[in-house]
Amino acid sequence: MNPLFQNQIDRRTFLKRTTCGAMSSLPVLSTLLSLKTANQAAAANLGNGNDCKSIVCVFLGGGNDSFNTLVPIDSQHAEYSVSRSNLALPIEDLLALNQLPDGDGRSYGLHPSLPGLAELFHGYKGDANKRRLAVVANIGTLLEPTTKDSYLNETVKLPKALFSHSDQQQQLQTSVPQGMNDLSGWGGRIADVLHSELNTGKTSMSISLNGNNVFQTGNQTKPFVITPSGALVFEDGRYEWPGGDHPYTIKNDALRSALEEEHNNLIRQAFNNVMTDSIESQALYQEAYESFDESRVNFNFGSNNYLQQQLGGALKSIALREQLGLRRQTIFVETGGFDNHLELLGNHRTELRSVNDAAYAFQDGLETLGLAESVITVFISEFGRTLRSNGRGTDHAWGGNIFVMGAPVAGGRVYGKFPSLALDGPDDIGRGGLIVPTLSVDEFYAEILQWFGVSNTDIPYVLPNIENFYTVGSGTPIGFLNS
Amino acid sequence: MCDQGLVGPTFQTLHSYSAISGPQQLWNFLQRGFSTQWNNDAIQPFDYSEFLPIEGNANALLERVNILFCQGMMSRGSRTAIQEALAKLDNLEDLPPGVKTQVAVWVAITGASGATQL
Repeated sequence: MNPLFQNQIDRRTFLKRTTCGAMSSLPVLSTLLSLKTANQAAAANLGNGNDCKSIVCVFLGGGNDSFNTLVPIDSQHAEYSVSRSNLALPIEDLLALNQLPDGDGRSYGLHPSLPGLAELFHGYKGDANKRRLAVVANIGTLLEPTTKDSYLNETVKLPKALFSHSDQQQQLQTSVPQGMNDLSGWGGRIADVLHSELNTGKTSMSISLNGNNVFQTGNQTKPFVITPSGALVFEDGRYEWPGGDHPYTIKNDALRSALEEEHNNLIRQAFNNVMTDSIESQALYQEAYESFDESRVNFNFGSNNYLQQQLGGALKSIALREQLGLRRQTIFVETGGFDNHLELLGNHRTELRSVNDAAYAFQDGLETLGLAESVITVFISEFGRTLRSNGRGTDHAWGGNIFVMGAPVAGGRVYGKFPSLALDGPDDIGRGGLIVPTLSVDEFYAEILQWFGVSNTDIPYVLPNIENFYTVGSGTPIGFLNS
Repeated sequence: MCDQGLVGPTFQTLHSYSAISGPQQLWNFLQRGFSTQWNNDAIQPFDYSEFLPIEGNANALLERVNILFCQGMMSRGSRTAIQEALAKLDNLEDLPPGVKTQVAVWVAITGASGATQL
């Protein structure tokens, strides 16, 4: 063992010291304690109003094959089977969805790996009044309404670099498919307009469980990155040393002291600001995070399913939002594995099962904690995939189907216009079944923004292209949320 | 920086998590060394032999670290912080050789004058 770590103390003693004695005389710690007091006050009074809302963005990296996720099981299944050939899922394997009468009137089945999501579509725990899941069909990045003809005739402006992973991942998160000089995401721009107005805590409203991301990068705000284990702190006081503080504590104190220096050089000062803010806010967040009693909810926080681990962190972060002074909060999680060129059926089964288990457990946790009414979870992926099998998998395409989950969702329905799945049919722009989207992600996001409380004045700031699809203030863009 | 219309690419990698995870990883490297994929993951400890003779002289150690890690431009705040840390370490019993160097280097390179270059 490293000689510096022979004097480790137990966790209970460590926590006691961290919250008491280890908060020594350094001014930065005094600041930290003041902020803690401010946050506790904020918890008692969230400012103008006390409604709390959270948007959870689940990013399915790689391009989910959403035409094998939601499959027509009516007469269109024959068309689907021809296009997909060896990758087609038989009707008897699919989980049939019984849409409400005011859905799109069609019959669909979900992939067999999604029984939890099928239950949420029909009603959480069998309660038809709790239809928590809806599907929005054939949606994607668009600059303006686009058809097969306008695409082929080149009479329409198109997103940059269609079919490219990195570009489309970015565009799903910026919602600015023409590109941006200064990259920012729609979640970050929400924070730009709402954070200072509605939130009172020190913590950012943009919480990421998967590192820095474009979605939550604003012009004035940035993501606050944690892990499923919580925030990261310098654990002063965990170790003892004869004659004084442990060298670990001494070097941490020295760094904090160095960071208090004021610099005329902008880069040095900006560096100090980021470091100091990070140390303070991570410590505050971790204190709140550790206070969450996991026994309150039947959720496997130690699951091997990484998406479930991340959503466990999301669940805690939502439960703690009042304590953190956050009336509004976005949360970003991500899982990969959906780029299945070489092996679709087996991989997709596994990946969707992970999504199913994690998503159901997360929604179940929200219901148990009484938070379901104030959380919307969206599942987005950079693009749909080609209809034609390449032999073992499918390739990059454009439009696809996405899930939206939560009590605010008018669930039990498929929204939008499900496309023709015929190769070279009216919605296929060619090259093996690339479906042109009939809905823009802007319309989808705009509806969530309305629910979140972004004003009609600010919606165009968050979604600069929205007026190409929807006149702000003229009702709901799609109608997938309860009125 | 934003108010001045400036952009610092480094701040796309320095964020609320890496601000702490980076320094912690650097501390691990300083203490235990590091491993490489092409070396069967054997941990290679750092060689502190040139620092050990000057560990008892705080000013000499400080200047050596300043030249090596801050291009001789260590800020007053970092200098003061390291001096105070070295004084505290002097009071500890049975401190292994090399620890003063590790602390001085760590504070230097995780502070603004070591982490940024002018």
